Amino acid sequence: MSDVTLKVSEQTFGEVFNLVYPGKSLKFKGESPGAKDAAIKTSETSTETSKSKTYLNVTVPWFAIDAELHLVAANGIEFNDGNTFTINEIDIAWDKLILKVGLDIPTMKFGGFCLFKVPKSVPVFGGQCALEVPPIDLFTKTPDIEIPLDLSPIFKSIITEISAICSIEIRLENEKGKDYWAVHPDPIAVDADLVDIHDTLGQAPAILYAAVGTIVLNCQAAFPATWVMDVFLGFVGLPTMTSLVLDVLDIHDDIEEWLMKALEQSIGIDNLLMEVIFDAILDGDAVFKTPKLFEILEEKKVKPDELGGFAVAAPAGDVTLPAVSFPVIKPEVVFDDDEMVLTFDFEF
Amino acid sequence: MADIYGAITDSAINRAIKFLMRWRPALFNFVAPSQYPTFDGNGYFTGFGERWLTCCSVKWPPGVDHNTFPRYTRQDPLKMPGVVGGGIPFCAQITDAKIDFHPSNTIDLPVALTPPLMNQRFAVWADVSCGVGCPTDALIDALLDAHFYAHSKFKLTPDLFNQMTLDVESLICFSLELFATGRLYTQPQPGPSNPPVTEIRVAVNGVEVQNVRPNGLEDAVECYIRMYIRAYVLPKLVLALEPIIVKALGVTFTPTLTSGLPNNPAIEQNELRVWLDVDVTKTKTSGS
Repeated sequence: MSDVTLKVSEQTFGEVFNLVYPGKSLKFKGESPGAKDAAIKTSETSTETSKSKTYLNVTVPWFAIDAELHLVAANGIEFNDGNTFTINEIDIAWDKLILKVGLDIPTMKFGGFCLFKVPKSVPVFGGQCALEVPPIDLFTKTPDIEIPLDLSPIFKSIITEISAICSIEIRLENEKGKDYWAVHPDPIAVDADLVDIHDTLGQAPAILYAAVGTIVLNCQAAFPATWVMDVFLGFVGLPTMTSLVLDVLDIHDDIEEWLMKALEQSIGIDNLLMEVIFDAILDGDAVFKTPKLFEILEEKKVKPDELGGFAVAAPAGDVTLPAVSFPVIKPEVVFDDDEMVLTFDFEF
Repeated sequence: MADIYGAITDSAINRAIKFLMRWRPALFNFVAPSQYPTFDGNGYFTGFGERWLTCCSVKWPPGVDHNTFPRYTRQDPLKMPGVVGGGIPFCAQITDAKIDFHPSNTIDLPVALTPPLMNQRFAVWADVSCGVGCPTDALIDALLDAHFYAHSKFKLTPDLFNQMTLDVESLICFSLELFATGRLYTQPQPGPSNPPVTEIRVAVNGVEVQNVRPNGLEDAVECYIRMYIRAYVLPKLVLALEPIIVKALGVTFTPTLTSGLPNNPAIEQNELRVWLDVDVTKTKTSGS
């Protein structure tokens, strides 16, 4: 039996979640790896004294995102038997979204050779380089070609909807020099509907269609190749015309949500993106916190004439009694159908 | 179903008591020190020195400064008719204590408390070392001749002398085993709040002191201890269900005891249990 047991009902947990998270602004920046990180190892040779590796550098598409969003509300939280809980349909509103797409070309060295040598027959200067091409590095930036797309005006009218299955993670955190056991939701599966058609259409249908058209035009101008368009649309999560129809009917999402609940596993590239975002959102605040050293008696200043038992005569000034704290160990969280159960022991 | 449920075991509380005994010994060791006059090199009175006499030695917790860390809480000396001076030095030290929630499994209740422990009750046991100072005949002679001091160059007036606790160098010590049983109850806190804040309080049902003879003296000691517990200790053991602000989350929990349960709070299965309904609100900040 644990020293202390705390149980929190599903309803109370939901109330706390909806008070703590909505309205909080989250800024995040991220970018895909450049060509250097994407280099492919093609061979490796080893002798007793040295190793050598050969890499094939490739040009890679590059993406970056600079965004700011806030949670609007979670429509429901359910505790599951398998030590997880499901957050149903969290609405996220975008305050800023700048997407950058580009190409990162591997760095190439150019020059460093002699363009014109003085003929050997020429006295004194014969055989020397008369014109050398200086060595230079090409394509050193990451990325080398970049097109920023400020989607903020469009996305400000768009509501993104996320459902997630989370487990609970207990971490030892330090805040202002004090250790805490912090209870964090840890998303293990996320279903994201990046452009929630229903909610968005409710707000501004014309803007959505105009947005899709604008992006398509921008992309076509920048990257005429069809595959680039596919990558871009897939990354952003914007629907193609076919999927747009499916999304309007919400067929696609219903099936995905059903699959996610059944498999507890994320599906799709947009979900992976959202999982990262969701992780970042939930990383911010703990749902519950317990100090590692639970202060039972606070530090206290007392007059020495109220106390005794000093090694020498009582000190002249006030005496400070240090705080007494119980060390909390072995915190655990489990879920059953209706309750989150937090248990811990004291270490003494 | 309650919004929040909390429980703590008696084993955890007992380990906490031992932890506190080690780190805040002054909470468990009460001493009225003996006093003696001090004089300068010319024999003039300069003040009182003190002897903090105890029956059981008390260690300092590890790592503290022995010159500034106190081990005892000062008490007023015992006043008795016929005792000249400021009173009798004494000590009362709780050297061990434990609590046992129903069903009882760590404290063997004495017959006077009608074991076994009843449902929803707790038992408390404490080993108490007591000591009382007894002045020597020489000191009594001096006390009776206090005017000697007043008229001497010492300038120790009878008034000053009568403030001084008896000067002894040791205590007459004895040990007591104290048993008590009790329960928890709730009542609304007096005051203007509407609805009233509920308070969880402790009631003591029985007190038994062992190793005291004759029976009349035992009854008198128990009566005094019961009065001390009710008048001094229990009023401090009150848990008011007031709003709890969780700064880290920016929310305020306003708890009320969940109604409709047979016992809430409850003492059962070796745990103290409480079921609460909470009203969760965003904490109002000064600027909002």
